[in-house]
Amino acid sequence: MIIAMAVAVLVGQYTQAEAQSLFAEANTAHASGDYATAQARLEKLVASGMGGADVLYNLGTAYLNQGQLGPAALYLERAKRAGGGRDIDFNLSLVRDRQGDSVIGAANATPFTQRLAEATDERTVTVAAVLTWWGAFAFWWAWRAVRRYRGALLAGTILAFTAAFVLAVAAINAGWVRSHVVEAIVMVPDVKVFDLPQALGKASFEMHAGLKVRVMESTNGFTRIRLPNAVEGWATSAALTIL
Amino acid sequence: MARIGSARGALALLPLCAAVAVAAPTIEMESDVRRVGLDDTFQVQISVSEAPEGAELVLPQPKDAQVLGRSESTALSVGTGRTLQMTRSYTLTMKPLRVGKLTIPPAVLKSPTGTIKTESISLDVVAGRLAPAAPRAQPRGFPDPFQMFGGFGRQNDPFEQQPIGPNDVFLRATVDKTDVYPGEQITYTVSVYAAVEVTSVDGMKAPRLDGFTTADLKTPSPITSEPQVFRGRQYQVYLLRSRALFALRPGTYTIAPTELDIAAGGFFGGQKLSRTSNPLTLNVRQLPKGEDSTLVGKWTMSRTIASHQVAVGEPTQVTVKVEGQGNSLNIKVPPLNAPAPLKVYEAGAKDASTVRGSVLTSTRTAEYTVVPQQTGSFALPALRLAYFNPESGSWESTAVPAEQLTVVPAASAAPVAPSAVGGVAAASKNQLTAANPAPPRHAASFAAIGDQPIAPPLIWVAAGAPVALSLVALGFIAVRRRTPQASSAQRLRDARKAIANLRDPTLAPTEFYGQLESVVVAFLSAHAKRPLQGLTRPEIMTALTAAKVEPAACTRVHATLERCEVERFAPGLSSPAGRESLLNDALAVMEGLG
Repeated sequence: MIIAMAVAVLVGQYTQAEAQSLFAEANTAHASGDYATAQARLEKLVASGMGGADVLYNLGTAYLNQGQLGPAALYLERAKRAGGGRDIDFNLSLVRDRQGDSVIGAANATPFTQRLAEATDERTVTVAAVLTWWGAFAFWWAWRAVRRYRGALLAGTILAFTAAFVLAVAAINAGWVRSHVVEAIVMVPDVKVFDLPQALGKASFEMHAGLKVRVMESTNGFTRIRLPNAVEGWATSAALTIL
Repeated sequence: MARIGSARGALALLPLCAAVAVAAPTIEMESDVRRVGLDDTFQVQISVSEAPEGAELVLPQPKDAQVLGRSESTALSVGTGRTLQMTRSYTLTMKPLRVGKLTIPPAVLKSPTGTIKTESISLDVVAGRLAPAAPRAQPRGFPDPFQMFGGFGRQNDPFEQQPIGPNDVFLRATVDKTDVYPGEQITYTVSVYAAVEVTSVDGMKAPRLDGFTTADLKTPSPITSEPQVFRGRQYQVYLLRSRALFALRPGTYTIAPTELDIAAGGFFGGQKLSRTSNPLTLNVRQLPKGEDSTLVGKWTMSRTIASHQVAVGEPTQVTVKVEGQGNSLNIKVPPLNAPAPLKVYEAGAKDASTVRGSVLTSTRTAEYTVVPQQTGSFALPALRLAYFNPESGSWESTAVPAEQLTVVPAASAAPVAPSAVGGVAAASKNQLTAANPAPPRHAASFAAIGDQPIAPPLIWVAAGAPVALSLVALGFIAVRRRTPQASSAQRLRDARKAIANLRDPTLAPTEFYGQLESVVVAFLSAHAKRPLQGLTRPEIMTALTAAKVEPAACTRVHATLERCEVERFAPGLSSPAGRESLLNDALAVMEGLG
């Protein structure tokens, strides 16, 4: 136990009680309009590994109240990935409203798999897939053992297996997108995007803080990004933070 | 000929012209001769005094004379009470074209107030050259004083010109300070210092003031003088102009000299002098670091709110005023930063300047219309404006404290018509909009950053469990079917199923008894683990005995088989009740064997 405590101190871990106290201090500061103090408290929690949707959401909201769209978008998106919630979606919509870019054609160019993953909650879909899978087997055994209502039991078996399959595909898709599709947030007020991974010539376009982009590859201090409408370009890696 | 001033100099004189143009304008035209030879030239002078702004002079164009040249001059003459009067003179040099009477048409002055013109002039043109020239007519206002003294020698002329030295009349430019900060006021003055009488000044050429913004402090009209002792000598000092200069950027600047023509020495024996003022060098220092502001001077800021309690949707005016010594161009009024429920509309800013003594005082007033959208108590935050005070050499600030604005529900809940404020409908209801971020969560459950929604092993276990359980169950079933008890039970189930099928009353007796025998023999074959089909009854009994079937059971089997055979070939003995009891007997036999 002594070793565990020492390790906890060394890695800056908080106990549950300490973490709750820090969280409460952040909320007190937030309520009195001292968003900077709230941000500092919450960042301590995150730095110590005590994250979760609640902490990330509150941190993103503190940044949003200070008008810092880049960090606001970053932490709100992370909160969404950590659990989501209507309040997260609402504040993210505010970030998008206040963000300086309008990506034209975004809805049509995003791949279906990515749109499906964004529309589904991975945890919910996975649990539903497992439950319908169990249900399908229950129906099948009932059909084997019970002599009455065999037609209904057979239909139930088929439906349950179909539903389990569909939900499993959605869950696998969400997991694959989560692990293979890397996204980032623009953190600086503005960043130029070039055709090549070098700051030469005229920039193709500019992006502004709070915009979510997909990361395709990185080289030479530049990152190739793709906008939701499939427009690509190279931006300095330092201007982006991976979600 | 007097030097014509630059456009700037002319502009500098125009205010004088406008300021003193209280009397009616006058125009005069006169010729220096009344009789001229065909080979001679003559001059016609047109003088315009008190011309109002926008006035236009139409010079005479005689038909019988050629205009050889034209010159202009401007004169400021000192009148009574040491006031100055501006007169513009045009001199046309002409040559007659024919002998006879020559008429010079009138010169016309067209002004917004009306048109005035001179009288025309008639001249006699004779052939040849007139020599000696007829006495030239003296321009009016300047009588030849020597006419009165016929034969009086010039060497005894009491009005002989006295030389006027550079120290008798000079032009002096001054600034009140030479080491300043950008935006700090420098008072720049230009004065005529005269130890002799000054009758007029003209042709003022003011220097360019690049790098400065300027404001007039004083442009006297009429110009008056004050006695002053300068370098131990008494002078009359005529202040021509005083301006406030504000440097735009740090650096060293030189203000070029001003040039001026001065008529001095009195009306009799006066001299026309050209004078140039001294240049001035200014050093504009960098503002010290400390604040994000370029405002220099001494300033105060105030804020007024028309009403501290308003109904929702009702506009109230907020005014922020910054005033003080200095240039208003550098004033950046801090934004109101009102909370989101208070809609702020900027009505613009107004600047005003006044001169107090030699100091320019500026005011910038920013007006806002605030329309509250929600009920409650809202704070207009404190405002702060930093400025550099050159007197103290340090950054100072002026501030206004935060003020509360209370918004109460409107008396009537109906929305009012769109107000004049940008055409936005000022609804009188407490507007609860979704414009602000959602509040933070009051409680948290913590999770390590980067945790996946559900651990993959758990998913695999949950998904594989029903499959595994099913496989286990199926295997168990398959194994159990191979055990004797399972086989026996299965046989019995099959037998029961077959017996159940034989309860069909439509079956023909032959078929009934045949199938029943087959079912029983098949059961016995499975029990004995050897095929018994086709064997005689004694052989079947022997096989059963060998299979260790109890004798009582064998007897019952024998009886059942015999009865099947008898009733099969004696259909008259068959009846539904008999069939049913035979089926039950066969079933009981098979169940007895297990």
